[in-house]
Amino acid sequence: MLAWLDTLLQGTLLGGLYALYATGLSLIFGIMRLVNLAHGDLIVFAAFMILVLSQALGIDSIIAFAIAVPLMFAIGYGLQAILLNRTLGADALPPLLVTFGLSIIVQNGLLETFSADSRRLHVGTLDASSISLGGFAAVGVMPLLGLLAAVVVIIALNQLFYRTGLGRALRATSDDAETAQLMGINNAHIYALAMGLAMAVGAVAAFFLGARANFDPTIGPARLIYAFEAVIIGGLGSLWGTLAGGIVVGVAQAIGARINPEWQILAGHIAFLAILIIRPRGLFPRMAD
Amino acid sequence: MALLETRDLEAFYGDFQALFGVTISVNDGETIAIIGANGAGKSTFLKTVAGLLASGPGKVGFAGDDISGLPAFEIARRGIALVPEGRRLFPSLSVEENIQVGAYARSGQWSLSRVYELFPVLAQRRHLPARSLSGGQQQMCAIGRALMTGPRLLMCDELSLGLAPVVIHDIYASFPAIKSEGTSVIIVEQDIVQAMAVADRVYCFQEGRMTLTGRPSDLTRDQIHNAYFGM
Repeated sequence: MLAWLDTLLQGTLLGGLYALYATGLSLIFGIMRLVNLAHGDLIVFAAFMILVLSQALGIDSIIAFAIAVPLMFAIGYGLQAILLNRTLGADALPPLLVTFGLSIIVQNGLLETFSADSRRLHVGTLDASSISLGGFAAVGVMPLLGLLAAVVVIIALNQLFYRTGLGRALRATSDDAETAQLMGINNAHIYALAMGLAMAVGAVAAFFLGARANFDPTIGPARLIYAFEAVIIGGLGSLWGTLAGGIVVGVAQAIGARINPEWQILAGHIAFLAILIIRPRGLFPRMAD
Repeated sequence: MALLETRDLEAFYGDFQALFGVTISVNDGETIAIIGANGAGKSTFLKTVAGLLASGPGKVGFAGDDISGLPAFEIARRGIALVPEGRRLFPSLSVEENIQVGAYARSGQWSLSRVYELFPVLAQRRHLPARSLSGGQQQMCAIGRALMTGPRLLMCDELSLGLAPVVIHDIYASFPAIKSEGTSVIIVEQDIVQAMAVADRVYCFQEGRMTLTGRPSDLTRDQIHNAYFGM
């Protein structure tokens, strides 16, 4: 029984990481209906950025992470302003094709630069620190911080969306981009800001990805799939739903792994399909469209 | 000098030409009514001035500047507000947020409290989703939202469409307060009587062309009938 409680706990913590992968994806889909197929690869790119900053500047990974967040924001802003805004329109295919191409370029660029070797971000004593929960289980500090980071990121984004003028502009543009322009809102700038935010959150995800486990240039597409599943389970456009979706995938994977280690990934996909059948619009759909 | 001046304005939907050489002017503080049958090009004209539709040849001048070809957000920032046909409120925003979003890029003489003063019913429903409002209340919210952009020119597209007469009366009753700020107004209406009652000058459109202009008191019923229907 206690072993199962431990499994649920570890799954929930893993779900926090998946929620971090998914939040950026959910954000940009919610605002501009853009499915970024390069999202997972850009998270891996951010993990390598933290690694390189840390090694090149001789600084701690945590400081490198703090530098990577605004850098990734700028990269996201530029990517949207220069490239992706040109693909947006009535047809959903161009952004899909362009982000698919971007995914291939990023992945192969990382392979070419860093080889296929696995890397890890080291965070000093936090690497192996854990908190004992009365003997039946122990919680790793980094996984716990990952879940807390997901909660903090979602609270911060909700504050931005519901308490600021920029947030109103983001939601108005999401509702009706043409009418938003009549309010003096520059959609191209709003979309670029949204992508910047998504990439900044991607940098947070990258830090916890690299600090929890090994990473290499090829793992982006799998992260994208987990992120997709979390977003769809949670319900499109709901950030708290995305957190719930991430936890559902994480717990399902942990339960699958407990039954048989080979079933870990499969169990997550089965949970996704089951929820899709029972609730096709996800657990917390934003509103009746 | 006119506040808004269009010269030989043309507009297209793909290959289909919807406006043919429309030349009109609006002076500071003036209320203009554009009347015409369905498909006459009235809404197309407003969308073209607002920058939602790319203008073809021809010029749009506003406050002495050539604004032809500017993007819609830039035109809004310069002081032209459009209350679009069908209101088009932001459904996921509350009533208050819809009004506030108007002030995103430009502040002017209108504040939230002044909009609530103009339309008290909106204050009572400020925290409700905009989609829960009645048609008339939505129209008031759309006007309030447009006023928050601080417009020098307010363009209203089919204000009375689908609304009960008593609601239409309430909405038009707000116009003196709007005009008292020196705001010029363009009203596009199919309700000729209503339009003639509030306008300083009238333009009649037919099949994308301006066919008649004048002061309401100077135009005869036959002149309007001919310009409206092309008979």
